[in-house]
Amino acid sequence: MTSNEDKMEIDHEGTELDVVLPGDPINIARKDDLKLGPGLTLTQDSVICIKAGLLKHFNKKNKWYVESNQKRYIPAEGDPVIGIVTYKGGEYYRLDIGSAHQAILPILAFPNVNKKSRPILNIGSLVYARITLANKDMEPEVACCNPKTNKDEGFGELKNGFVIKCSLRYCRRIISQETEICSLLKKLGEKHEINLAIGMNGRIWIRLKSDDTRDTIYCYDVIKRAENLDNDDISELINSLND
Amino acid sequence: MVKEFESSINEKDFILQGIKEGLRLDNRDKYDFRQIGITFGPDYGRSEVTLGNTRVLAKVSCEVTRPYQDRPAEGMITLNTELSPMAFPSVEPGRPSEEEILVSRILEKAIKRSRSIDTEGLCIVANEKVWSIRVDMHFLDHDGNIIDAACIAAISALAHFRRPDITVIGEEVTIHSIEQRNPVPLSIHHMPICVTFAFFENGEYVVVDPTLQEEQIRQGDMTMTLNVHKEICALSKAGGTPLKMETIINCSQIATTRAKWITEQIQAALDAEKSKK
Amino acid sequence: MATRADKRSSSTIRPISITTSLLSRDGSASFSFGNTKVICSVNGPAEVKLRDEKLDKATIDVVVRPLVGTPGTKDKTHEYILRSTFEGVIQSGLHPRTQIQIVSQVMMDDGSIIAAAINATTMALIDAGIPMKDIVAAISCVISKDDQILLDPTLQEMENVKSFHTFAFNKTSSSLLFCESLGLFTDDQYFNCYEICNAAASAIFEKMREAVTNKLQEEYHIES
Repeated sequence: MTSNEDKMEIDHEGTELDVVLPGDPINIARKDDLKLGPGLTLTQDSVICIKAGLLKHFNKKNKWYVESNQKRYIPAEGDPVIGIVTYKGGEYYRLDIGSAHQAILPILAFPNVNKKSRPILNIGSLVYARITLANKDMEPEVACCNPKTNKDEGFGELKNGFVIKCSLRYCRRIISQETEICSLLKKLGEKHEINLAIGMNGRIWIRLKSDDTRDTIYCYDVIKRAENLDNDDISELINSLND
Repeated sequence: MVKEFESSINEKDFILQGIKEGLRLDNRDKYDFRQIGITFGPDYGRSEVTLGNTRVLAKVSCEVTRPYQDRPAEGMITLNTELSPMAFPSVEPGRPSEEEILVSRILEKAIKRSRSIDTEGLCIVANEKVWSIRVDMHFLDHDGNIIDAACIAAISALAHFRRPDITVIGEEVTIHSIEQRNPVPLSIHHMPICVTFAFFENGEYVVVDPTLQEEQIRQGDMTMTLNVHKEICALSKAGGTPLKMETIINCSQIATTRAKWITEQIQAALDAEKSKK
Repeated sequence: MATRADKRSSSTIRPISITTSLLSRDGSASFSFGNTKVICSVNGPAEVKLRDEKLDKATIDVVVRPLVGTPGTKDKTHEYILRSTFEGVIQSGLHPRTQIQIVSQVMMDDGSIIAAAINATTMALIDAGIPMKDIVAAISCVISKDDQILLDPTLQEMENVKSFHTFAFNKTSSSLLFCESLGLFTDDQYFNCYEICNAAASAIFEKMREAVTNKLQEEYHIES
């Protein structure tokens, strides 16, 4: 299974549901070394919320953010994403990654590439890449290799298979290897050898080693169904897969 | 206007491979429709139809107008099928796209030209006053096959509609409000139902009720409009891959059974609504 | 106090119902006051056409579609109202050179349409995760022939009235964001309407918070 090493930190402090709406002022006692994550903004002297969701914080680092779910992807540096090639140029490709602006994939952002041996991607090809530049005023940039090691690290063109479109939170749940979803994928993996690539932009690529259509549709269906289930229901789903 | 990107080659290939093996993503048979949901009311002539994730709202309204000079004793039926960016992000309001014209033409043929509604019964005073019935269709969500969904919405809304009762004494016309007198249903001759087919690999493979992703890779399509009496009211095939005679005959047989099934669904929804009141 | 056709008191809102995420767009919501219902979809931040592009902020595009007939002047006015009300609330500077498209469709018309459209838009923007520094709630009222203020009027109650008022307030300071008044009224009457609508708006905010909480509870059962 291809997956990201970055694990999301899981918050154990806030157990109660702390729902915030845009405009809600956030009462923060300690102002020293304050770190604000997504969904929060600083106005003059107070912190206000700009997205609806659950307010989370880590006491130790004084880090605050709003956990929410949405469909539209906003690029963030370091995110693995799945893109579709929409343009082929001399120096770069353009990828639709589901964000407002298309991402730029330079030809040289592949391992062991020089001007003569360029990777061959066609319009409509699927590419798994990591965001290297994300800035609200500029087009995002992605790369298929780690510049330090010059290795692909699992990134590159995705051949065959199918794409599951889902909410951004579901991607985060899978990538953070939430136990229930993990055991669901393991369960599926017992019968079928599955390759998964998870894009933080709400796209999951799935390919079975057998490339069998019926089995792929089956796995697609199970993964898609688990999106709207809670952990108890996922356990139930896992049990139902036994028969 | 928001640009919508097409699916990747991988997805297209996979769906096509599935169709070749007789498999669809939603586990449907190639000749099956998605689940249909029909809700009426609270006012007369309002019907909301879901076909899988495709969602259409139809609202019927009426007013008294002067008839056309060449048809002095006939009422009028107007269909409005303007596409909205709610379902089609690439649509620019006020500028009809090719798709919009195609959709409105097919629905016009299906509902108006098939003479499913008795227009003569809508005449109040010949040459002077007739009822003008208007059907507004709103596309709320698009996951393929909007034509069939819109047709179900329009015909079920027409069947659910009641116009105010009238009394004519000489030239004097009185319109009674709904509170005063029970409103009158339209007289519907038959219920035309659209059944859309999508063709792949030069017409070798056929599916009914294509989803958006299936529509993106189809090579041709055909919409048959027919009623429960096994009569074909209209057949639209706007270009696309050429089809063999046998394919069309085969399709018409499938369409007959599907049209019957859909009519039953509409009837059941209408009956359920009636028993509620 | 004269009772209303639906047995409400003069300052009661019809039953509110809110549904979110019902369409496949980035965000969507339907909002209803009794038999008035508006559905709203939000798409974005998405690619913007070159001629609409703004270098420092997102372009907000609003489309309002009537239940019956083709869009006319009234719908254009509603588009303008929605755009100007939400432009000040949406943090469009966070997404320059993009478009946020709001489409509002009337589903059932039984009076107070513009108020329902504003509320549906707030919920759809929340659902889409568009950054906003505040949220908006709107409510209408009429002053009837016998000088009574009727909150959240139905279509029938909107006929033959002295004046018709719609107010939209923000949540943080409950100050006025938009108001539209038609007809003849005294300044005392206007301020009375303002007070009643302001109180009603906080009730609507409670409903909105409830809708968001319910949805989050459903999604994040793990934490609850």
